Amino acid sequence: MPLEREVYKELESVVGPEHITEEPATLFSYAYQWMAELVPDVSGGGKFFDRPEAVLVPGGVEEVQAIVRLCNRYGLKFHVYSTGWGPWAAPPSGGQILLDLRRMNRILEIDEQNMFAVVEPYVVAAQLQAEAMKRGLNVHISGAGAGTSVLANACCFQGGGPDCIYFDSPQNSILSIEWVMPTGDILRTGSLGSGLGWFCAEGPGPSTQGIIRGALGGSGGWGVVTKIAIRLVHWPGPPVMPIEGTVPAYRTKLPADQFRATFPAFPSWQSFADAIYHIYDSEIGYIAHRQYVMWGDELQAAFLKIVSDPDRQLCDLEELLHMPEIQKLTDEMRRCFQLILVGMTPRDLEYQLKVLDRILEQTGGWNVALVNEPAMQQYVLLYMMRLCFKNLNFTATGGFIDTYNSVASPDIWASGEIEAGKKLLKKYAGRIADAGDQAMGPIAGQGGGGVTGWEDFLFYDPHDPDSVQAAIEVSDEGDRLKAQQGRPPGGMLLGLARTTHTEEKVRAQKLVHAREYQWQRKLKQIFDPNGIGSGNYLWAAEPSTNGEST
Amino acid sequence: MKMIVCVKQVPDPQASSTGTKVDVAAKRVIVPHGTPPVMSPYDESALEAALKIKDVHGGHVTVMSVGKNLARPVLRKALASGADELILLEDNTFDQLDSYATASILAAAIREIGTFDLILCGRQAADTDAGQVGSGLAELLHIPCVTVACGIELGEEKVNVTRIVSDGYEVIEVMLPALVTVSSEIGELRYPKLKDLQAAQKMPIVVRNAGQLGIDVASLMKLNLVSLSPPQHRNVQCCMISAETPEIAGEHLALTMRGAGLI
Amino acid sequence: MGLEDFKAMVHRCSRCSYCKWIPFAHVKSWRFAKGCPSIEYHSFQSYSASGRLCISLALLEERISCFDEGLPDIVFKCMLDGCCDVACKVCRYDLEPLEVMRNLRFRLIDNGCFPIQDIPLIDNLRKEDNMMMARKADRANWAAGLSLKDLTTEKADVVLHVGCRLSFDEELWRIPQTAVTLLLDAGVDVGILGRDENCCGGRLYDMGYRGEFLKYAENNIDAWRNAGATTVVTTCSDCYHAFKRLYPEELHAPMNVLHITEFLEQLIAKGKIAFKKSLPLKITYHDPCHLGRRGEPYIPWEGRQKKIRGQILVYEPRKPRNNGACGVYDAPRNVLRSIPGIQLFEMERNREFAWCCGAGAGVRERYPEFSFWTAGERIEEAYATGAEALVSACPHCERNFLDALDQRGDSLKVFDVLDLVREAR
Repeated sequence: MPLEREVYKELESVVGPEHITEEPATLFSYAYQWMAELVPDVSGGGKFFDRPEAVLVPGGVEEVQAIVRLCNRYGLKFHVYSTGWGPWAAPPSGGQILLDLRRMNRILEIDEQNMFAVVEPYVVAAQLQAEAMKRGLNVHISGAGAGTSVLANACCFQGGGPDCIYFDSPQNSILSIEWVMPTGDILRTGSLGSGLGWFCAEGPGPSTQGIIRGALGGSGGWGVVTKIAIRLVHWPGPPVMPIEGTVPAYRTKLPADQFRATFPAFPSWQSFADAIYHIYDSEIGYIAHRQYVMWGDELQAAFLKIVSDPDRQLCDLEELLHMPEIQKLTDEMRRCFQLILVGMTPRDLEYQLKVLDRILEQTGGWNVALVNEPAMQQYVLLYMMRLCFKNLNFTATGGFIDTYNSVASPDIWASGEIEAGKKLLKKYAGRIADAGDQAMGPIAGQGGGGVTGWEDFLFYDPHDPDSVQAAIEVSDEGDRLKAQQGRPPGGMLLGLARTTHTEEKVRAQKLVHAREYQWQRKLKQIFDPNGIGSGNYLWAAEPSTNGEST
Repeated sequence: MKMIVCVKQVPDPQASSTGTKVDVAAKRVIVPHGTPPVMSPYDESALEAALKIKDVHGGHVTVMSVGKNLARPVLRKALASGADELILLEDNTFDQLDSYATASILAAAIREIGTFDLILCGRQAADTDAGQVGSGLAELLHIPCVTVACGIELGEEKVNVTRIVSDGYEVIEVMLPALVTVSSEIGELRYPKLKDLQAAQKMPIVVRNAGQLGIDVASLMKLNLVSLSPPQHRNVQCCMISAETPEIAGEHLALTMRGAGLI
Repeated sequence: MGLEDFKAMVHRCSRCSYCKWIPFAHVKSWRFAKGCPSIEYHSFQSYSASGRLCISLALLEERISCFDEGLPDIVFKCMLDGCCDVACKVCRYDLEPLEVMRNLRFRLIDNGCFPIQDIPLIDNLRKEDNMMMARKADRANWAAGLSLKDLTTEKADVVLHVGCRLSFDEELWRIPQTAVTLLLDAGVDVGILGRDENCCGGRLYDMGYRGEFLKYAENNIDAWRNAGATTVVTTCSDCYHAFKRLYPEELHAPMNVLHITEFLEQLIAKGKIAFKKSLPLKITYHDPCHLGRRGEPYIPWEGRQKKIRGQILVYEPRKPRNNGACGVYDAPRNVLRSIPGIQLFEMERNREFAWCCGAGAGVRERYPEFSFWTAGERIEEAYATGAEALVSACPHCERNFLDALDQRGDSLKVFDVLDLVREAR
């Protein structure tokens, strides 16, 4: 249903005619949804969700507020979009307008002394990191990488990543917030709420950090966060990362006495888990992530050889897999993760390296020698520091889904869950990529450690209906297995969930049993009395039949 | 002076023929991707003829085109060049029409208009080269037709049409209303200015479909394309005759051709 | 190949937005992190490579129509500069966003859905064989007084193709004139086609007029063959791209093609050009898209995509990636570095991820405002290096910079590499 002309005119008067459109081609460019084929009952098996009725590109908080107020007046739902990557980008149902925040793209302030930055929604991590580094600072980058919104990662969805061990989780890095609530009121939280600047999340103004963020963020249903202050950490490296190498195998040469990439590897999952505890205890590490296993433990060594070499391509995979040295490397890397040690001084790095040696000694582990080759060292440092190659996660087919994921204490690595995940994927091998253990995830999900986990990646071909079907089946099976253990379902597919999807209803109902979602749903009803803030599973879930939640 | 110019949209005849293929099964000519449609060049000349008359005597020029998915920018060029009105006879069934069907659709639309003085068509279309629509249309409208005009002079309720014939020109006087088919000698269509093109983009156009015209294409089609095949590949060899002077080269050429049995 | 052949590719786009930025590894600031002028200027997702992939799919699935009024604007307001293609291929081995966007253009042109402002340009081209709204008869005026071989009647090893811009832009005539002097002084057997030189067709191709491009490509190849030339040297990056990549790709006609800076680099290395003067000048070099990332040699490939290990997509045999790794970046820089006194500063966005000048693929002709804005962004970036002059190797870039500077009332100097070579001799 196109918008009433009167409504369109009013919206147009807010943003100006050049920043609103109903052009069908543009509307479809926003309806395109990565992985949409995984919910065929809403996408018809294709790539499109419902198209928005209009797209607006507001230029600032006043315009956002005016739009939200108009939406309240006319009962019009709105969906919010920053960089548009992720399973919640397209509007979850028809009849909505879409706010693309790409014009709100400024870094408003970098406060060196107090170590924070104030950003608008369309500042991506690479930009803020580059500017922070000039001032000896660095910023957390979500696992989704350098091309994603700093603000959206902190406030609106998971947002965790490889560097949480040192940088802390993004939700803990949010300071003050400027938030256009679903009613159109503007709330300024933390110290900003008292007119004291951006430096503090909790008072003297109101704190809504828990509300706005919850467990996984509102993914577009919580109004519009228009500015946040985000905490920064120390960066002892050069003001500009020096980049060398031929596209796409870029590398960075950082001072060797302060920066070291390592691949700690272990003979058993128990020793892997033990080492994580030791790392937590000894407080070493700047970035710690089980990264390259996303290509599968069978393929990660060969893949790494390919992507770090400008002359290689995926067609070299089989040849590499048959090479004895790659086979050896594959075995060496099977239970490894990527640990980046950064010394604030050379002595600091020296100390951390000694601690790592000691941990490896105690756990019977080793540092995979490959990472000590100069070019590989430089490649891995760049990869992990900037997360500039994160779309390599999807290089095999373009389609992925996480299935048998886990978030828990380090013991989880030794609980047999990795093997269970591997077994699950193996069952569908052929219809999905046959790659082995694909449990990629952070060694520490919060500052200093305490929680770790993984996403079980699987690759399917979005162009191949049978492969798509296999991805749906394996994901459902993974969720069923987890449900038997009382664990919530996988995160990514949930992003796609809509009430019209029967299976998703079931998933969502499982989720609303979790206390935090119950509370968030209740709060949403208070904060969004007209129900105009769009959202996905979180908000769309029906109350369960036993009346546990509403 | 009320003039109607009938134009056909064809794939640019000036584009490369190298990539052109014949789809034998579908009996269609496939031009290379990225070949734009244009107004058929003789039709452009017909429009130029109308505009020349308008320049001198004033009048109203209506441009009319028949087809499926007619390209607006291609035909709006007629408005930018000086035509007053554009009528598109557009329908999904107006595809692969034969000359009789085309003429019939045009006739139906012209009857709707009612009065006119002069209808101008290109002598033939650049894609099919059939050259039948003009005379067919005149027949259907029961008006006189003069073909292959290289000049048109407007007189009192008549026009003097200059035709090219094999040994010169002939001038024919014809009473109005009449239909004239135009050849390229009348001149190329004037270049529209950018501002006229931009203005033309905003001008209203009239679109009429089969239902509105009361047309059933299937009942009008008289021709059946039996087969379409690409030309046989010819092996051409070029032999350069060189000599010290042009006279000797000429002699050599003659001797060579005689030797080959060509003269 | 037509648009329909790219459906699988669009299905596999992971919608990551890398196409909107320079490769993230190279981001050095907030200001110059952006890679795509089209989306930066127009804001909506549809004005990006991934947006245009979505549109292609919507078109193939008949959700939208070629005849939708606003579609040409979205499709053609883009320089096809290819930074998106490079950034995409940092991580993806199986996507060709630039190819999809080109085929989307062909589809619109096939249906006559072009911007109406094309009409005078294309009409004049059909008649006068140039893209400059000029007369064919004036094409060789730049060469008046130069004793050059006329390759319509004579033969030479090297044909110098100067292109439409340099043939008709009087202010830039000094560039081909310098090229001629340098080549003749170095003893190169060179000639020109003069008035019979045709448009290369490269810009036409990018604008979507592939059918017209083919005609010019055929004519040019014939003319060079008749002239007995073994090498084509060009002073224009647009022409270079047409000859180096498009001609062999579309017509399987391999020629030895050199950009003038490549030729000069060779002559300097052989000691055939020596510099007598020092030019104390701080400069920055702008990589023309068509010489840089899009100027990679064409490598023929025939093969298929297959799946290994279940679903992993690979090409068999290895397919050229065309990801900007093999563009011409060093030749112009080496020529500049060999000039005494010159100090070369790099802009943040350089080589395969350089920001476009705004002139390409018909944008200058169709949408001058967007074109000049794009040039203005580059000018700001040049200023940020502290350079006194912006140097390039393409007359289209240079003209666009000059006009944008003029519009801004700005005075940054703009030179062609050849200008500095001439001054230092």
